Amino acid sequence: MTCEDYRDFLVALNDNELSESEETLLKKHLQECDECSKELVEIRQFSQELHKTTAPFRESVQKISAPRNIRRSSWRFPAWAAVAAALVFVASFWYFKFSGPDIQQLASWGIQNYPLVEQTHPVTGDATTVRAWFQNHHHISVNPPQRVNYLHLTGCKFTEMNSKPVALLRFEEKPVRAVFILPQKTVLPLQQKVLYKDGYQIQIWKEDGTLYMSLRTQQS
Amino acid sequence: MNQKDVHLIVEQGGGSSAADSSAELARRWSSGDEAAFEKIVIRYRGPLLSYALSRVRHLQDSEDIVQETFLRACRSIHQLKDQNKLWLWLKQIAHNVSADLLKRTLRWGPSHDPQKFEEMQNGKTDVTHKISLQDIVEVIEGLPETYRETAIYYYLEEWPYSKIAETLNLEPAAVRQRISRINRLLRESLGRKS
Repeated sequence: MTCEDYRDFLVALNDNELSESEETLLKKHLQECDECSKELVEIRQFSQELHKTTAPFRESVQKISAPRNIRRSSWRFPAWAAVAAALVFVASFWYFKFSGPDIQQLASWGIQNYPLVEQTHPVTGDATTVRAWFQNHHHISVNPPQRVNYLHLTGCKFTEMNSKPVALLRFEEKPVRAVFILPQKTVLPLQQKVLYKDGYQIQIWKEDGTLYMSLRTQQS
Repeated sequence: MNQKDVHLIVEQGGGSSAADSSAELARRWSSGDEAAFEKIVIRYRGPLLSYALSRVRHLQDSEDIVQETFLRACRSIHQLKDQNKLWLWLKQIAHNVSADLLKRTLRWGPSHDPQKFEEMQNGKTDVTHKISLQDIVEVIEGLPETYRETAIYYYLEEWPYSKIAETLNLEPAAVRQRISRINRLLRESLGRKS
C-alpha cells in the first residue's frame, strides 16, 4: 500500500470508524511516515474547527420538523369535478335559455333586422299611442319611457329572443336608430353600460324598472 | 460508544430496518403515510437548509424557508408526478420560497450580518481566516451532486457513517472513501490543506 492508499483511511481513523485490524495497520504506517502523520494532524484540527463552526446549523436542523395536521389541498380534476363542471354548464345553459336574451345577441339581431321594422308596423305618435299599440297588438304591457314623447316613433316590432318578448322601436330623430325594451331578466354580461358593435353604439339603461337598449350609429 | 452513535439511536428511535428509497417514501407519503413524511423531513431538512442558506445567507431565515417548504410540499404532494424526483421537487419549492423572501428583503436592503459588521468595525484583517458557516455551506453546495449530500450529512449534520450508508444505500467502504475525498476538497477550498 502507498501513502495515498493510507490517506483514504485517515479521516475514518479520526472518526473511530475503522475496524480493529485496519486501525492497527494504519497506526503502524503512521509511526513510520511523517507525511501521513502530519496529514492526520491537519485532519484532526480541521474536524474540530468545522465541528464548532457548524454547530448552529445542527441546532437549526433539529428545530425543523414535519408539519402536523395539515389539510392537504384536495384540488384535483377527478371524475366528480368533471361531473360538477358538466352540471354547471347545463345549469348555465338552462339559465340563459329561460332568463331572456343576451345583450350582444340582441344587438346583433337588432342590427340585422332593423330595416324590416319599417316595413312591418310603422307607428307614429306619443307614448300613449305607442302604449296602446303595444297593448292592442301584443299580450304584454309595456311603458315606454317619457322621452318617447319627444321622439317621432317611426317603427316598432315585437319579436322573441330565446322565447322572450322583445320590443324594437324605431324613432325618426337621429342619432337614435332604435330602442329595445328588454325583458326584466335580460342577461347583462358586461360591466359597462355602453358597448360598440358593427358600427353601432349600444347603450343600456333602466327606467321605472324597465330595461332599455338603444342603438345609435357610432359616428354620431 | 461515541457521540455520533448516541445521535444515531436518538434519530432512529431505537433502530430501524434498511432505509427506504426516496421514491418509495414519496409514494407512501402521497398515499397519506405520515411516518414516511417524517422520514422525508429527517432526510431532506439538512440538504434543504444548506441550499436555503447558500441562497439567503441567513440561518434563521433559512430555517423558516425549510419549514415553509415542507408545509407547501405537504399541501401539494399530489402535484409530485415523478416520485424519483422528490429531491428536485422539494428543492424547487425551497427555491420559490427563498425567492419570495429575497424579494421582500430586497425592499429593506440586504440581510445584516452582525458578526461581519463587528469584524469590519474592529478592523479585523483576514490573516486569522476564521472559517464561517456560510463559507462551508457555499463550498459544499458547489460540490458535485454525488458528494454534496454526503458532505451535508457528515459535516453539517454530523451523521455517523452507518446512517449515511443506510440513507444513501451505499456500502460503508464507499461512504468512507467519499468522506475522505470530500475532506480533501473542503480543506483545499477553505485553505486548510498544506
